[in-house]
Amino acid sequence: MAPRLDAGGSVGNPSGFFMNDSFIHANKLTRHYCVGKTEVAALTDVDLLVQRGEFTALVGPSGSGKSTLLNLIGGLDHPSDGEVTVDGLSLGAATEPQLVRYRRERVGFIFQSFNLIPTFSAVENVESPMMLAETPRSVRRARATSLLESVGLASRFLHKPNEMSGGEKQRVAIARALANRPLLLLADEPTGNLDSKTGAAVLDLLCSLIKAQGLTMIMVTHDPEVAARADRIIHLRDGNVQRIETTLKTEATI
Amino acid sequence: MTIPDQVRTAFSNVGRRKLRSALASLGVVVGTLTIVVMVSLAAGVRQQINQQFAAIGLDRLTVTPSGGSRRGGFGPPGGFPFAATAQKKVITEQDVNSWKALPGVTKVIPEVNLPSSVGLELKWNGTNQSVRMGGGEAAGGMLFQEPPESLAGSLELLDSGGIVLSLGAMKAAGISTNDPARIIGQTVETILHTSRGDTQSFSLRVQGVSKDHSPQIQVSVADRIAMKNWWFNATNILEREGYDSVTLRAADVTRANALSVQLRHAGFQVQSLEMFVTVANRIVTAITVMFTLIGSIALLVATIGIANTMVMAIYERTREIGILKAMGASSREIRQMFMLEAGFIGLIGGVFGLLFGWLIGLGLNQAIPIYLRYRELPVHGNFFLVTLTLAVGVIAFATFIGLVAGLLPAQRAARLDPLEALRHE
Repeated sequence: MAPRLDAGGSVGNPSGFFMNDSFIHANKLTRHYCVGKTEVAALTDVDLLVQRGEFTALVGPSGSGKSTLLNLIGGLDHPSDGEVTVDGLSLGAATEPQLVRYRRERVGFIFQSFNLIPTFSAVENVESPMMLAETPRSVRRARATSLLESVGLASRFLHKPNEMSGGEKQRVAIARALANRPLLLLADEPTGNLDSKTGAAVLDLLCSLIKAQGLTMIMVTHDPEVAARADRIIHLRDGNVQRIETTLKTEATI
Repeated sequence: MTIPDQVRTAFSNVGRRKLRSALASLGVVVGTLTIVVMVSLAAGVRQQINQQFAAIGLDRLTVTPSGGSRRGGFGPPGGFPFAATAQKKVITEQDVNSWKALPGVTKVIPEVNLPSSVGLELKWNGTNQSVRMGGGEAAGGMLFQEPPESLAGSLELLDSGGIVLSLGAMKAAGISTNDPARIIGQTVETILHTSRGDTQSFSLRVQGVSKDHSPQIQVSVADRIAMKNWWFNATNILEREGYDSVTLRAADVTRANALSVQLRHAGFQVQSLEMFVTVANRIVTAITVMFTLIGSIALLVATIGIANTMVMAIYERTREIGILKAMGASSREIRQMFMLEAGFIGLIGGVFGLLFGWLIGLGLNQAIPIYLRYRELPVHGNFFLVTLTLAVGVIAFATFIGLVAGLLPAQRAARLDPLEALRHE
């Protein structure tokens, strides 16, 4: 399990299927914010290649740009400069309707604070992305039910978020992120609000789900133990990639 | 998002803030209620007017000489009829006879009015009692009055002469009213007197008794001509002055309108009930528009309440908007969602306003006849009439008001940046 330094980026990653056509490709990705009159550089000239099916962890101190990078990849933010391409779609050049479709059909978000809709029951929360995707009602109820079963919440369908524990809420959020069969899961400190035991269980669930479905996942985390579960760890500092670490896994064979 | 899903979501979102939605829609309720009550009152009044006119008959025309005294009057006070003859297009007996022969004319009733200064008394058993000359056609109806009811004999006066007494006139003259039929066929003396003290008696055969409590008599046209001749000390008053008015009844309303054009062309003044109805309806329409405007102003004020509620809701649900956008909701979907919610508040307000307004109308429809009976006014039917057009129109308008109120807040919600919205606490 000893992490191995890999300065050469992701080329040659054993889990990559598309050697020349990476699933995520960031090229000199830059994001500057204007706070008042001063410009703050959240991310500067970041190059990144992520292969399909890869689990990447983004680590670094606060303000290092990990959330910014995640939001750029998720199509929630626009790059100031450079480009990020996901599954062939250039997000910086994409139109707003293209980004809406991209978020709806290809990306699933998982947040630290769960971000469930408080007035919706568990099953309604899982259904909501499918409602946006205009999935027929009967289909989405069936899929939401089976997704909740797959995250181990078979008995909590009709509970509202405030009637559930943190772990349960995050399981609902995971089920919701998977609702529209995305290719990419973006998780922003998914275990940050959970105790270590619950966090470990949620992480186990996430890892087994992405492995089973061949999903690509990028996860922002502070926790080195969580990061160690990833295929690669990208260390960010002051908006730059400091180093990229490839973890050696005994089970990492396809 | 499909339209049914949007509607369902908006409806459940309104439902989860019941009190606030109810308060926001209160303004719409008041505005809608005002419109419903006012417009249904106008519709009821319009129906009343039309019914009253139709009861008398829209097939009736009143022809009067042109340039002369007005219909229904008793001549200008102290008027000297000969002076006006030159300018007047008089209605002669020949005119009346030719009208009787016109196709589609079912009835021609000529009228002669006595000057208002004529003193009139009914003599019975040697005592004289002052009575009033009933105007117009004895058997015809008057607006907002019950048609006269016959107690005995016929109220239709014959051309050859005769008199109809009211119950009140009989009582005043001291004629026994126990058996009104007994007076039929008897002769009563009607005495005319001038202010100078000249008197003249006319013997008239009683043809009928009407159930009218005011002391009045109706005298046939032939007798009235005789009275007028005496009054003006003339023998040919009809030839000179013609009839004061002639009521024509046509076979139907269309024929009545055609006749009215024809007679007006011949130089007479013609008034038809159709014209009255048109004018009355125009007035009612004007009042309806005014009342509707008052209600509409209330509804416009209600938009402020709805807009405020929506701004609050959007502020509270900023994070939810961020979540929805992250999950792939478009700005258009967010805008539509909030506009639908505002529209629902308007719709709910409209439905309750309509319901309450309708109930108020129902209550007043029950209460007003009690008052009318107390005042002995012969008006029946409803004064508040909620038509389907009003019901549908007012709900549609209330919904529209809600949508308008939601426009700007929804636009604001749609423009929210998903990242900022997600950071919102």
